[in-house]
Amino acid sequence: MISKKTMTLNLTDTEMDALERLSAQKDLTKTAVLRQALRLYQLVEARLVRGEKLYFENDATKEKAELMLV
Amino acid sequence: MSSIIERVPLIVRATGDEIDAEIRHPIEESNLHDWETKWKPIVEATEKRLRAQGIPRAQWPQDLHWDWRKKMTDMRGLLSGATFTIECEKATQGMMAVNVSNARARIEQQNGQHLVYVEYLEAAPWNRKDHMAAPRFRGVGSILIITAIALSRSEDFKGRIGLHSLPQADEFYTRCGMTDLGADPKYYNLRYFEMTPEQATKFLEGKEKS
Amino acid sequence: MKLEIKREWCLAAARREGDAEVGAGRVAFDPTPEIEGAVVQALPVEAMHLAFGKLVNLLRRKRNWSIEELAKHAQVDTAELLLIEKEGRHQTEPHTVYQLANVFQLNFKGLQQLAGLTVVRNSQVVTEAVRFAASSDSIEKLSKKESEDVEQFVAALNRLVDGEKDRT
Repeated sequence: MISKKTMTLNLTDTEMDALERLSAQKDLTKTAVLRQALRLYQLVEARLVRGEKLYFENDATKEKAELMLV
Repeated sequence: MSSIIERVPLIVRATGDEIDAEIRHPIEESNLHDWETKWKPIVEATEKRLRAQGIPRAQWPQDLHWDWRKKMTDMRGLLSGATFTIECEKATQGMMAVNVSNARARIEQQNGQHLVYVEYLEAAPWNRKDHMAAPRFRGVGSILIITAIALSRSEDFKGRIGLHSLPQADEFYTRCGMTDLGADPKYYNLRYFEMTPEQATKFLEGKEKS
Repeated sequence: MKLEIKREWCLAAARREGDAEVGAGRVAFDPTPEIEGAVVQALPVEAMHLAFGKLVNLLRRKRNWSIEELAKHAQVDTAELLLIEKEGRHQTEPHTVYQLANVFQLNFKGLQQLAGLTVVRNSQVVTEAVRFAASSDSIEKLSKKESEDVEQFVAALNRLVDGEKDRT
């Protein structure tokens, strides 16, 4: 957070599009979006490694759909 | 190894003099050691005193049993959290743990955007009237909050922060200019406070909420 | 991360802050007994709430009830049941605890303690609750192990709570 390292990122057009759309939608710079993505990814992996599962839940029907991460 | 973010002054309550302190991050072993050897004995003495005096529990400080070591263990290695300390006179004067990933703004106009959520914020017991008749330093809370705001800005969250206030601190957060969204039934009915980008700017400009 | 904060701001803020309490964050509920000398380990109330939620969840599934069905049988709010089962931080209403104790035929005193409504006098209750809450989770039909877990926990809770002498 204090000292930062620079990395060059190569993305396809579609990936760049998605990044730009997210950046606009979340009111964050593209870098900020990617940092959030990294944090979430790390968090998810940490839980999966403990044997937990990741689910989406439909708020209305309460149906759970597992996000299969094999 | 922690590193320093900024040198800031605190006020020595007894004299009104300034004293230089450091905002550092992250919380490290020396801070946890301070918590265990310097903070806890005072906190425990307070609890004993309150019990002996028969003071109803509802009036006790509500963070008598926080476990900072456990918090640090839980957070270890995860990018989603960040911790900060204020130190001076070779002692930890205050600590804060925040989450920069999971929380979203609840104020409707903020459209569910990202914010820095303060999970724990605690001043050393010798800086609190709850524990000492004559607290030592003033300013720990304000400095930790402004650190959270600065972090929020650096994350591109525009200064938004959120937290659940301990009852005795409701007034402080209101005076900081935060919006009180009321008691949160999902969180022990603690009041949830949030700062908008505009409120953060006002706070930074030193405008006290009237 | 730049702070860009002036000394004057800090000093002014410190003066404004005065002797104010500034704590924020999760309360560690301390179920300290009123009885002198008894030692009960303070546990985050989340652990107890999780045990409570899990108990409700497993007992419900044992009967093959949906949450709506449990709400109907116990005459309690569906929304609250959702919070009890899924949200580790929910403080359950006393009335709901009473209704659940009835519908599941549980020891009401024990359930009150688990739900954080009354003081936990026996630290063993807390230990059993944590152990129960910590055993693994699943959303499928109750497994044999889960069935046994529930029965063991309920028996332990009854035994420990009934063994207490009532003091007023």
